[in-house]
Formats: sequence, structure tokens, C-alpha cells
Amino acid sequence: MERIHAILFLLVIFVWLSLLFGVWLIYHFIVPLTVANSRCYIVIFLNAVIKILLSIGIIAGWLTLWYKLTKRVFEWERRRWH
Amino acid sequence: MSFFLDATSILLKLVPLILLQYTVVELLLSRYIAKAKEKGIIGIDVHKRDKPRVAEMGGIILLFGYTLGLSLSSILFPRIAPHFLALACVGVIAGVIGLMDDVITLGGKEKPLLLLLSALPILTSSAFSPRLELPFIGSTRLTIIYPLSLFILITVGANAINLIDVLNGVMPGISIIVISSMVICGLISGDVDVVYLAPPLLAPLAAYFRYNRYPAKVFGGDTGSLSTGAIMTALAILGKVEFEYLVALIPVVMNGFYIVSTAGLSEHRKVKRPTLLTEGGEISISREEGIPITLVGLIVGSKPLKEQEVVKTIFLLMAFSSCLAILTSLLIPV
Repeated sequence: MERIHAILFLLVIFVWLSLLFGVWLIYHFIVPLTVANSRCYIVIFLNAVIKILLSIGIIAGWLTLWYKLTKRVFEWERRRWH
Repeated sequence: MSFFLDATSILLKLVPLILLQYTVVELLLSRYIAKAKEKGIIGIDVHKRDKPRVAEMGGIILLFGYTLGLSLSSILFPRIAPHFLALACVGVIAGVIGLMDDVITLGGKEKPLLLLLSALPILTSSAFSPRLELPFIGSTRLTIIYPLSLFILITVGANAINLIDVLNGVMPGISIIVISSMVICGLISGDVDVVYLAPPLLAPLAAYFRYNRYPAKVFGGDTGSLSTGAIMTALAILGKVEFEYLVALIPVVMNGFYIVSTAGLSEHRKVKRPTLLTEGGEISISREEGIPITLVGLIVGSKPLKEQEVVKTIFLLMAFSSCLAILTSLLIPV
């Protein structure tokens, strides 16, 4: 097996573990997060917005990391070959 | 035990239908290839040195095979007829968009926007329930976010399969691997619906694979890849194996994500080719700057490889991610 193929298999495992960790993190830490116990609709709305922004932040950060990691591997292997 | 006996009896009931579908698609494809060549509906196989002319738009026959099987299944199993019909409608809408793209070439933004429409049959059918099953958590009730995310899910699924359909046999091969893993995941989670829904999709794919594998005699075009991608995603939603499907599809989603990240939403025919053909007929990575990162590009990144070797590596990656999907279904509390 080529080294790049082994790296690809590792990348698949990285994405899988990240998905599992992301689900666990969002469900256990972000969904139960409450800014304040209130019946006021504005507070409930703000609470939901914060949760969604935090989830988007985690997903965006993870996607950037994933992309940069692969790009580095790709460019490095390409330079080595040519 | 009784659950597995139920699943076996369903599969036995489906055997004549599967055989019928396989034979019809096989016969139609063999005739279509000759007719398409005669009428000039052809594409060039760019990954061969002699650049053979191959019949194009064979996806129409594949879509016909799906629709035939799903319609007949809805008569055989009236209990889940809405599921079968919703799947058929999703396939037809995505197939028509694919056909439009094959004929008039839609823009890079028009195609995903139009594909959003293919989620409508699921949302409007009684087959859909907004319960997403997640690992470690189990069933969740997402009445607002989940129905909205269906539009994105089906569009991403269809486009991801479309973007990976670049080598002989890849699209039907990976679809067969992913659908089979979904059936196993359904059996593990105790949800029998996916066992009913999958066989009418597997039979036409198997017949199509015979003609699309190396050296390809027919290309599916966007009609085949978009309809297959949309139907597979709809199958995962209706079969309640969405998360497992996402895991099984990781290499394909990776490929789509890299292309969109480097080339944006431009029409894929206008994007710079990441690979080239060597004198020896092997696929090599291009020297050009600014080429998109693709799964094929990564596979041939360190050394040129023959087309069959690249396809074999993609299948290995898909089989691996499918095993991870099966492992994931064990992590979902019943």
C-alpha cells in the first residue's frame, strides 16, 4: 500500500471520530446550555441563537482544520512526485 | 431471531422482482448502447490512451429501472407504499435535473438550487418522521431543524455522488457498497424498512455496473449520478439510517468538500483537470497550479496508477468507511 493511501484511510478515521465527538459535544454541552431560566421569549430566542452560533463555530473550525490538513498532505505528495 | 426471519422472508418475496429489474435494465442497456452510438449520443473516455467513444446518458435506463422496481414494490408491500413512491419521486425529480444538465449544461449554482426541490416528496409524504437517531444519544426529536436540513442533505448527497462519478464503474460500485451497508445497519438497529427499500435500488445498479465497469460501454451522465445520489440519501432518511449513511459516505463527501473548497461552486466541466494521462496510460497528478484537490488526485498523488487500481482503492476506502458505519450503528442506543 502506498503511503498516501494509508494517510487517506487515517483521514477517514479522523473524520469519523470528529463526527462522533462533534455529536457528543453538541448534545451534551451546547444543547443543555441555558443563559438564564426565563419565560421571556427574547431570552429563549437569544439562548437558541447562542447555541446555533456555537455549533456552527465548532463545525466551521473542524472543517477548516480538516481542509488545511488534507491540502498540506496533497501539496507535499505532489511536490515529492514532480 | 424472528426479526431476521422477517427480513429473510421479505428478501425472498423480492427475489422475482429483483430478477425482473436486473433483466429489464440489462436488456434495455444493451439496446440503448447501440442506439446511442448510432444517434451520436456519445462521450469520450478521457482516461484511456485511445480515447474511445462511449454511449452517454445511460442513466435514463438506470432511473427507469429504479422507478419500475419501486412502483412494483409499492404494490407488493402496500404497508410502506408511501416510502417506495416517495423514493421514486425523489429519483425522478433529481433525474430530470440531471437530464437538463446533460442536455443544456446548468450552471454551478443553478444545479444545487434546483436539486433542493427533490427533497419535497419526502417532506410531503406520510413516510417521513422528524426523528434523527444519533450515536450515544439515541432518538432525538428535531421538528424544525431536521425537516429544513433535508433539503441540504439531499442536495449534498446527490452532488457528492455526481462529483465522484469520474472513473469507470465508480458510481454504481460505491452505491452498491453504501446501500448494502445501510441494509446491515438497518438490521442491527432493528428497523426493517430499509430491508424493503434497498433491493429495488440494488438490482438496476448491479445491471448498470456490468456495462459501466472498466472498460466502460456506457456512461450514466448526470441523470444517473444525481438520481442515484438523491435516491440513496432519501433511502437513508426513510430507512432511519441517516448518520450511518453519512459515515459510509465519508470518502465521497471528502471529495465533494475538497472540490467545493478549492474551486467553489463553478460548473465542474469548467474546473481545471487535477489529473492527466501518462504515456503508459496511467493516471497521474497534474503539474498545474491551482488544480482542485480530489479523491482521485490524492490517490495518484505520490505515484501514477492505472485506472483499475485507482477504482480499486476507492472501493477499498468505501468498504472501510462502510465498516465504520456498521460500527456506528452499534453505538446508537435502541
